[in-house]
Amino acid sequence: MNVKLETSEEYALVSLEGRVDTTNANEFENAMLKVISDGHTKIILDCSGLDYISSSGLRVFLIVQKKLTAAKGQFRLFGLQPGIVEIFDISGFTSIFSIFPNKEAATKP
Amino acid sequence: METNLDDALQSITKQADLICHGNYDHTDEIYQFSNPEKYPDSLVNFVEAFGFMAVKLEAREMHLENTIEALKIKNEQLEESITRHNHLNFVFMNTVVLLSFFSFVLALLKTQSDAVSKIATTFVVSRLIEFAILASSILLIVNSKLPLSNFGLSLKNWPKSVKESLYATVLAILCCTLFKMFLVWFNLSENTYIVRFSNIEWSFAFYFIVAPLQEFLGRGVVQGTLQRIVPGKYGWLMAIVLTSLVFGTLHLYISPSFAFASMVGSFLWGWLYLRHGTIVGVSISHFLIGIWMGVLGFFI
Repeated sequence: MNVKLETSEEYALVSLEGRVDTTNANEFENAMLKVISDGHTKIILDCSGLDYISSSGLRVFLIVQKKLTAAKGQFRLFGLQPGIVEIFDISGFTSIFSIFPNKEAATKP
Repeated sequence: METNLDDALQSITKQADLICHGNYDHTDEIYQFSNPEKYPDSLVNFVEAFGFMAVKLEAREMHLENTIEALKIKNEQLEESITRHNHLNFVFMNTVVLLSFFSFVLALLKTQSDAVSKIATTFVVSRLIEFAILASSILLIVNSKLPLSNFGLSLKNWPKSVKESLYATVLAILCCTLFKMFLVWFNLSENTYIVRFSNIEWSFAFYFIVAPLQEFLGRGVVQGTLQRIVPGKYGWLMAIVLTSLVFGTLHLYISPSFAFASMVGSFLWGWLYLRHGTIVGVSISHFLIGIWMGVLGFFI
């Protein structure tokens, strides 16, 4: 798993690559929580490089969503691969996350 | 391996119990048993399936909470809309009753030959009507549970309101005086003077109360309510126009030209009220312009 961060005045863009599973879900969680604790309330997650996600990884998404909702922030996702979309559909995530087809749509105010 | 299995089952049972109580905070504790390098596939798969189920449940609960929150907001909007609708009904009914009653009074007055008696009767009837509207407006305000500031009874922005109202008043007084000069010069006026301060009699003392009262009813209650309920980008303009039409009509008993002048004045006060949301400035303006109308002889 690889997590990259780019920040701008309007948002923090996090790129997630590889597999998120039990072995690295904590690492992903810590990275995301650090972005939030740094004061970013609008986080855009690029999932185009995400190949696999386990339930422990999904849980991190929920934690981030909860934290940002409490902070009246926004958590946007884009570039989800079909396999990930299917997992999101089954888990009911598509109804609680803001999912965009591409970066342009996700970064619009 | 058996100890590991026992530990895993105990941990999962504990988490299942916590989830049943709506606590998802420690779900991550079970994931220590989903490491394929340490534990058998059967346990890893079981923990993953349980974890997925827990995540799905948590997501569903979050979705439900979001839906409830959205419904609460919709419900508040609906209640607000019902309140606005009730206000509209109230203002509409009051206006119909008021205008009908006033028209009847005017028709009855036509039968009187004595002009002084006509004006005196109409003056008394007007005050009675204002009192009736005041009483029903108080009822409206109490029932609406809205703050008094929504009806112009606020001291917020009052210095700015007074300042702008005074500028507008001076301009209006100047225009009216020029108009009177024009009428006198071209012999179009019923009287030959431009200004006569002796026109101001004791009866004008009532105006000190009547002007703020009319502003409270006209601007605070009628226009304020219409501003809240008339939809669209130009709802505010419609509120001012409708209020001014009613306001002008209520001055028909003096003369059609006076009613027209009142309507024009109402546009000005309506605009000032829209800017500041308080009746302080417009009441002063109404009082001063009204008195000056008397000085110019438009009232007489």
